[in-house]
Amino acid sequence: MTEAEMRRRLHRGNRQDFEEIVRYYTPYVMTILQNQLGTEHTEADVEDVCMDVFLALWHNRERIHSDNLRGWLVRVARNKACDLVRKKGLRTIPLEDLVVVSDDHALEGLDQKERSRMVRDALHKLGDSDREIFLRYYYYEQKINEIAGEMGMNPETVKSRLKRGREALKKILEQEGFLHAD
Amino acid sequence: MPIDIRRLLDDYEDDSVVIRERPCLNADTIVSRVMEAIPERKQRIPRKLMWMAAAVAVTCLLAGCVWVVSAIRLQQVEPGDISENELETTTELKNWEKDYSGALIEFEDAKATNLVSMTVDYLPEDDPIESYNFVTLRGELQGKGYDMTGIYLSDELLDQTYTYLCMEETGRVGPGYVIELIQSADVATRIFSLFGEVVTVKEGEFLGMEGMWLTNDPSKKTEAEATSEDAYLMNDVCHHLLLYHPTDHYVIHIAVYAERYDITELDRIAEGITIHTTDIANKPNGSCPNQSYDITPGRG
Repeated sequence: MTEAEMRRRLHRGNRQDFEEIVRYYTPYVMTILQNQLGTEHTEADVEDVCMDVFLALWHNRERIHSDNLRGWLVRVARNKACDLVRKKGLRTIPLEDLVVVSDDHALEGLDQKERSRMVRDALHKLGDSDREIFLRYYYYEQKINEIAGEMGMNPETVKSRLKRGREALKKILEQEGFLHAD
Repeated sequence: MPIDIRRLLDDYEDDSVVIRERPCLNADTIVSRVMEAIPERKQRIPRKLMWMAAAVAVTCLLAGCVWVVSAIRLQQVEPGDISENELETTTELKNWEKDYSGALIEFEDAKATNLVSMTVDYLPEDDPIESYNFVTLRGELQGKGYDMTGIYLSDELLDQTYTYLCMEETGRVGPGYVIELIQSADVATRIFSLFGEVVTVKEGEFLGMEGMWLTNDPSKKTEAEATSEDAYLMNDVCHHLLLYHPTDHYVIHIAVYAERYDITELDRIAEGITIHTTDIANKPNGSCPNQSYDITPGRG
């Protein structure tokens, strides 16, 4: 079933269709959440968040017009996982993953769409492969070895290209005035 | 202010990367929990619909006699009022289930036959089919979990015949019109629920199928209906036609927005529908036991 057909079925509001959609996407959403939540959370935590994601899908089914249903689910799953991680304060952030925003209120002050546009534009200035590695690592929270396995690369290559992508993105966002230079 | 680089990606939506999913051993548990948490669709059983169904049975019986005697294809029965007397004197229904304890309308003889899809020659608007909200036969098969590598139907049949067509307006389903083909395997569990009061009805045999014409007026919703989860689905007066195929057991449901279309539009749409029958056994969640190389087009 294509994403567009999934969305059409979702709009019908039929329980049987919805159950099929949940069954189809559950392994993917669980994989995303397991990556996001890591080993600091129990399987029950992961299941609870997964359930929240699909309930959000049901309650928002009328408002979803994008055919990228998978992308919508990942975004919601990621945001819910981030909320849980922040709430529990479990994550330690490596120094290299910190960036300095140019204004204390930059994140809150920027309209969500504007921020997404800025980040998307910056990401698209990276090469395809560097962008994919960046997204796999920072968006999908895959481990270096996992990325290397899926992309058929040496883990050291992934690390060096991740570093290159990170630096390039920082530079672009600095030029945009969104980030301070380190 | 230093922040985690990941925060830059809050609310970002990616469509470029698909990661490899891991097997999910607890998928069934999650699916069950989600479905339990979703409110059940309201299954109301208006008395009026019971009258309608009973009347359909009477009409079908009469129509059947006419068919035997004349040996010609039965014509559509003229609309008629349903009286309470008819209900009281009807003890057996033909294919429309009269025990409405689980669903608004059930089909007691329904059983899984082969998968079907449809093409529609007449649509009230000239919009290209791509602008419709639709489900193709391919989508139906994939939705039912068939392994597509074992399906040898033509691309034309898979991608240009449909099980659902909906003229969508302003991003929501309706209020244009909807044509849906409910597979025989799904008929028994499908709930036809109409909000408000059913203000007009006729019934009879049409195109070799058992038909029920309804018009519902959701402005006469009960308070419980108005606050239910599904209330948004039906906000406008709509005409409906339900056609049940007595041997192939599928159901065609056509609904049109009454403010824009006359009830006769239902018949025009129905007359333009061609059903394509595959040799693929129809199971709600099963695999694909039979593949088909040969498709028999045409109405059953």
